[in-house]
Amino acid sequence: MNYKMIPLDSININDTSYQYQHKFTDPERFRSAMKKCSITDPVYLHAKENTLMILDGFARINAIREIHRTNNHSLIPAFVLTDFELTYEIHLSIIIKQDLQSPLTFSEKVTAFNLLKREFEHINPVSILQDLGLPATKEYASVYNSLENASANWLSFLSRHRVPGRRVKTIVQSANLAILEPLLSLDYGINKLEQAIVMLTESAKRENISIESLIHLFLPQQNVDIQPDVFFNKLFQYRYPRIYSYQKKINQHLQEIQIPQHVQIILDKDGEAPGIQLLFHIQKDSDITDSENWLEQNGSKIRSLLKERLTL
Amino acid sequence: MIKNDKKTLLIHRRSTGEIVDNFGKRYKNKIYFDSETFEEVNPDKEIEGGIKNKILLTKSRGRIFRPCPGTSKDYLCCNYWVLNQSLNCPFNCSYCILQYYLNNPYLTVHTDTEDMIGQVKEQIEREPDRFFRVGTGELADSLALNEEGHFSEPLIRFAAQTPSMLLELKTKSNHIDSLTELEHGGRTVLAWSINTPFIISTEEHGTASLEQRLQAVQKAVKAGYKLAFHFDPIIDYPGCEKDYDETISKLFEAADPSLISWISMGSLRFPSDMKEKILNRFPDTILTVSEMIRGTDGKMRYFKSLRIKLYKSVVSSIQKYGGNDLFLYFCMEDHEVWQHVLGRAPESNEELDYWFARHLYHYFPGLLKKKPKIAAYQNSVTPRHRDQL
Repeated sequence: MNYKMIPLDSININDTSYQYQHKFTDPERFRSAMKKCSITDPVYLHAKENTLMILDGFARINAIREIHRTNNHSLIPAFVLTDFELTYEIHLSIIIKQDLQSPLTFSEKVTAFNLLKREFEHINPVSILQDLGLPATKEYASVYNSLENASANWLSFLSRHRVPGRRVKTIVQSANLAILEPLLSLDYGINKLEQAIVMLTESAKRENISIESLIHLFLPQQNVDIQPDVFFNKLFQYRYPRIYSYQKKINQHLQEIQIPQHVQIILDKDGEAPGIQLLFHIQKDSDITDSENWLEQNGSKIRSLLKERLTL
Repeated sequence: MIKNDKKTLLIHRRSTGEIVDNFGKRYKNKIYFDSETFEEVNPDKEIEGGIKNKILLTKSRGRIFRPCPGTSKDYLCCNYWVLNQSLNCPFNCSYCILQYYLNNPYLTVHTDTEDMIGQVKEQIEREPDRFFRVGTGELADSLALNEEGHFSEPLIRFAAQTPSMLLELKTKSNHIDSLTELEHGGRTVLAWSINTPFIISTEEHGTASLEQRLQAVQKAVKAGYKLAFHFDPIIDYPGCEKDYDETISKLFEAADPSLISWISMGSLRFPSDMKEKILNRFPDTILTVSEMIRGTDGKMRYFKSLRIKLYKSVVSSIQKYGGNDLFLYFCMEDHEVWQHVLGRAPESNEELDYWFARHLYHYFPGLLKKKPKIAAYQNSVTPRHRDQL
């Protein structure tokens, strides 16, 4: 590996095969810093077939090119690696160095994983995951592989939500990410997005229709603002019609019963735990009389509520 | 390191005897080990595909004859007794809790038959006035591996000599050829878990087809065994009621109702956190499509109204083809379901246990030496369920 001062215009900036970092940082601030200090930390370049490809330092090289638009002969410090020198270990260490300096986002790590997997086919993908600190199983290797062609929207979403594991797996295994992309406009967190996607997948399986057509059904016009909660509730109602209707009825019953402050009604709205619990907070004599009166006045309504529970 | 792709016996050095010899004749690859923990036997944490090629032969530890752990006070349990002679199963049923929760991942057969039988004898002596139903199919398929190790045979011989018990061997296989010549004395029940051909082919991977199971039933009938059937899990899908009806019709073409000790029913249920695991392993499963609700035992199950509808349909088919004298019961259902479907409900687990004995006494004259009395079941000296142990 040679340390050299390299003219900017000899670097192939169009080939981004080795790029794994996404430009989500503030580019203006970055340019301003570069203007003051220029490049002090050497970039890494790969001397390949008479060109110099960027291994590490895309953002810096692009920033410095913009700053020195009129003079692309300016020199920048670089480590230049030949094919022979660019081993898996070296490439990994460049990525890890970057991660230590400024932690890579989840999607950057996934991109780095796919990059290393592509460049070093003889290395077990599970070992690469382990080296990058990602969940290391064959299943995850396959999940991350399918993120290789994910859109910028998805990569941005996954970077904002630091959850490399289970939820991403559920989402990726549910459907093609491109099909699910309209859901990103709802601006859900990862939990709610996962729930929505699971409901869509299960509904599509039950109705034997495509997820795409279901999304179209619930998000008919992507340009119209759809309230995220409205979408979620509609989807819930579609996926769980019985629970939805049951909970609605229970809520109606509860609304009909005037519940004073010192009384609490406890029942299981999501499960089949039997019965209803009534909790009376008795602090003074009059609370007893009030409770007796309340129970007498509302007895039939509570019976209706109990009957509703039995229809579950 | 143990190779994944080879069928292998893992034999604990202290395990010897008939079962080890029987398996030994069938397996070329044998690995002997001394370690006491399964982690030591499996240091590379093999994946399941490899594990299902291995049979671990070892002595049992602690009490392996226990009451069936009915896990909720709201659902009735029949007070069955389980003998965990083997653990795990070579089949891959998508709904099976074993593949998700057992600590030891190997197909395990306990080789110390005498000790196991000793535990059963001891319990029977503690409660001489009651009748025991004993099964080996709670944490395993009783017969899936039996043709290789013949490990059920000593139990059948023991049951034949023990007047106060019935042994139930429950399976989804058709592996009963080696049992047909045995002297079972009418004290062993060969039981099949039955489902529709659609569910068998889509969810019960690797098991015998319905036809194969029913052919095995016919062999069992010829050999004079008592029979039992378990419609568990009953699974809801479009057209399921018609499919269950056809399945039950075929069942009674193979099985003589006069030999049937009992028929159980249970609907699909699983712990809520198992859903994700099911989907990971079986993405095409239909199990997770239906709407389910959390039961009081924390397990997801169908709505009660749907369960009642499914059970009524199955009961109606059973009675249409098999008559009204059969003993039907539910596994882990509440009083309300019992009452709606069968028109009666036992007051308690103990009463249900007694109902079994009373039925068997009348249905199979001579099986029980004396008429059962409810007090023997209500005043049991042994705590039955997990919360009492």
